[in-house]
This record gives sequence, C-alpha cells and structure tokens, in this order.
Amino acid sequence: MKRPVAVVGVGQTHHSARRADVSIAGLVREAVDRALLDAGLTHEDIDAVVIGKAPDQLEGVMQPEQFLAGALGAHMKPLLRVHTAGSVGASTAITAVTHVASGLYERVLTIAFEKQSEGNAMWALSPSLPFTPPLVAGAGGFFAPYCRAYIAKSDAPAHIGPMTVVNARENAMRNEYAHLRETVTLEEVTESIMLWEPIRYLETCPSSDGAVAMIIASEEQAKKGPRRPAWVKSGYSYAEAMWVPGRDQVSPRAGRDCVKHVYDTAGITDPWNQIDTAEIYVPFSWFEAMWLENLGFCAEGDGWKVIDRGDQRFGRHLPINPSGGVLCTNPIGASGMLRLGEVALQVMGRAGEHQVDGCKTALGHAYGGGAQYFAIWIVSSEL
Amino acid sequence: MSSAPRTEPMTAEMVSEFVYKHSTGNDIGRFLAGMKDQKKIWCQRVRGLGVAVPPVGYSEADGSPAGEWVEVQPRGTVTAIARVFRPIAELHPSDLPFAYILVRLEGADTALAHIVVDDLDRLFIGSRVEAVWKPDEERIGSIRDIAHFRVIG
Repeated sequence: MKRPVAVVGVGQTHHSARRADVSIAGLVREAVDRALLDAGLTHEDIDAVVIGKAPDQLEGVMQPEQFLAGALGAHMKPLLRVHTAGSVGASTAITAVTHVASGLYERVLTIAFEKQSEGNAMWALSPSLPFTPPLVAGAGGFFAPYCRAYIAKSDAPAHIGPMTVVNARENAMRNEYAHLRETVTLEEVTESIMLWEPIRYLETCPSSDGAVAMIIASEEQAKKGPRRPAWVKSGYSYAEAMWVPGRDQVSPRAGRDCVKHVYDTAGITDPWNQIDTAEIYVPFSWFEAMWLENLGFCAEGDGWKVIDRGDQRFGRHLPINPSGGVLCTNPIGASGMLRLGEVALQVMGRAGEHQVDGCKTALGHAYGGGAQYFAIWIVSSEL
Repeated sequence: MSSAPRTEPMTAEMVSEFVYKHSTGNDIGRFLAGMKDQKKIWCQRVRGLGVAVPPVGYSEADGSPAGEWVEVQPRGTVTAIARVFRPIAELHPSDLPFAYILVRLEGADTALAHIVVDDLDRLFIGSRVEAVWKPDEERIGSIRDIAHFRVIG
C-alpha cells in the first residue's frame, strides 16, 4: 500500500430475521451511527462514502446507493457503490482502504447492508441470464455440488459438516449481535431436513436483516484516537470467470491467488502459526473445511481434519469465526464486511465475549458469485 | 459439410415479477399513520432544510438526525408542474389526463410530489391547492391516502 491505513471505528446492527422496526435507511443509519460514535467522529469528518450490498433484487430497490445518499450523509461527497455478489461487503471495505491508501481521502465511511426480510433470497439469487440455462437453485442448490465434490475429493467423513455448525452456534452464543443464538447438538443437525445433499436445514445460513459500517482512516488521522486502531496490512479483491471449463470450483484459483497476494504483502509465510484468528465466509457448513485449504491454513485435503481435531474452535490453535460467522448471521451484502469488521475488533482487543486472547494478527475473508469473487484482508494491532 | 445457418437477429423474452414488502420504520411510519388515522400530515424539522416533507428521520443535506415532529397543513402552493396528456394504463396514477405537481405545504420548507386531476386549465405555478382525502375505509397508510390535490385559487 502507498501509505498506512487503519480501521478507526466499527459499528454493526443487531441482526435478526426481520428488523420490522426500521426501514432500509433506518437499518443503515443504525450501523453508521454506531461506527461514527465508535470512532468519535461525525458526518462532517467524512471525506467519502463507499457502500456495498448484494443484488438489488433482494429488496427490489434499484440503485440503493442513490436512494440512501442522504441517509449516509453523502450529499456533496464522493459516493461509490461496489458490487461483487456475496463478497461485496469485503470488497467494499477494501475499496475504502484503497481510497485512503491512494492519498486522496483521509477518512472514508464504508457501509454494507441487507434487509432480506423485504424480499426472498431464493428468488433474488436465481437470476435469468440471457442464453444461459436457468438453474433456479438459489445459493444452496448451487453450492451443494461443490461440497459433494469436496467430500469425494478429500474423503471427508460425513460428520464434519454438522460438527462445523455445532461449533459455529457455540461461538455465536458469545456474540450479542448474532442472529441465531441457540446451541444445536450433532444429532439435531444430522436429523434436520436435507435441503440440498449434503447440506441440511441446520447446515445452511439464515436470512438476516443487518448492516455494518467502518471508518477507514490515514495514519495521521488514526493516531488522533480516541481508540487503538486496527492497521490494515494488506487487502485485495480477485475474480475469475464463472463458466470457464476446467476451473477448480472446490478450491478456486482466484481465492488461492488472492490470499497469496495478501500474505506476500503482509509478510505472512506461515499463516497457520502467524495468524491469531480468522473470520471466513462459511454460508454452508462444508465451506469451512474447503476455505481452510484454499486459504493455505493447511494442506489440500486436510481442512476437514482441522475441524475433526477441533483446532479451529474458540480457545484452540486458530479460532475460526469466533463471532459465529455467516452460519449464524447472514445479511448477505453485509456478511463480508462483518468478517472484516470482526477481525478489526479482534486486533483492537474489543471483540467482547468472543475476544481471542492476545490477538495481534487476523484475517478476514469473503467469497461470492459462483465462488468466483474473493476479497481478503489482514489486520494487525501493530502499524 | 454444411455451414451454420445465417439468421436475422432474434429476441428472447424474460419476465421478472416479485412482490416486495418494505418496512416503514418509525419515521415514514408515523407520516403514513398520521394520514391514515388522523388525515394529518406530520413532518420533521431537520438541520439545513427546515421542515422536510416527507419525514425520513434524518437531514438529506448533512445526514444529521431529524429533530421535532411538526404538523403541516394539507394545502399549499404549487412550485412545479409536469402535465401528462396521455396516461399509460396501470403505470400512471390516473387514467385521465392529469398533472404531477410539487406543492409547498403551509408550514413546510420542502415540496411534496403529488397529482392534480381536475381543473387543469386553472393549474399554474403559484396556484393554491388543497388535499382531497380518500374516505376513512379506503385509507391504508399510503401517500395515495390523499387521492389528489384540487385547485383552490
């Protein structure tokens, strides 16, 4: 990066199936108000605004960035909307980072949201593309074959998916903002209805209403306080084409290349030992094992073994998704930024009950589209 | 070996239809409830704009939170007009020729968009107009609880 960049404020809404108490603008403002308060700033201190959300069909509001400009305090300021499907929350934050790293802006407000209760994700995520076979699969039906391919390729035992959910739900109990705060047993998961083999009802993410915002600032501004910032050591967004024959959909190359670039820039050579916690995008149980491999935390084929041993649980070697992650809270467009915001809070030492002890370096990750968009950052407690 | 056929350009039809339900939240919610239950128009005082119609909970000018609730009058002065001579069925709010207006209601500092359907030849910028409410049983908490505005001067 051309100059140091930090997260100086994080704010998120309480997430639930239906936030009927607020409009879309009200939901967004709840997160923005909390982020500004956290940073000790007001709208007047903000130079530019970067907003992201998943496809417009989710709420039926076309050009939501235009609709929300006033609510975001973006009148007479540069306002940019980012769109990279499910990874958008993360790529939006990384766009805000490049805004500041470029030297053009000192303090940027970045925000991501989804209000899934106003529409239907299954409908919104089953698009009709010209001259392309309609899948009418939604996200679960689309990704289930990827999970089956992973199981076949790695010879993973059937209990790994359900185990992942049990752990995620335990983690969410320590996160006051999480949507699903109720533990489940292995039996309850395996006995829940099979939706898209091998993904059962309890192995899929919820539909949530929620938003998250961050204030991204230059070194000079970050050092003014009032709190200890999270320093962004590196952050990149990568993409690959969805329909290229021969692409590896279980461990996509864009993900591997993106994280390599992130590690190289941040000086990470041994992620398993150098990273203290990670928030990764796991909308369906099996993706935790898949991304552990794609992100280089273990060898290919070993992701499920990490979960089987419990090394990714809270309090163990590398806690994954201490917030409970996407399996417990999924306002789609915001889910990626929640991953990045959660790890920023971890290195600030302000993650609350799910704080990982002594956390200095953390990775935030999101993916989207047909597992073709990736956005990853590493944050640190040290400049 | 035959060659692929030459064609004229063709089209592929696509229908997209879904019914959404937007939560009103507190701000627009009280505005809509006031029209439905009281035939009153409640707005908010916001920084930089004065009394804003409709109330959205914040200032569109600087993002600051809205202040006090203020009742404005259901009558005011026309500030802009767009006349529609041939309405499109089901898309436009009237089947007969009508005019879109911006009306600055008494007590308000910003204008509200609505329609005038009668006396169009008496409608000009600066005309005085008044809300025509739908009957009690037809008001549902919508900007169309005001059926239209009528010219009063």
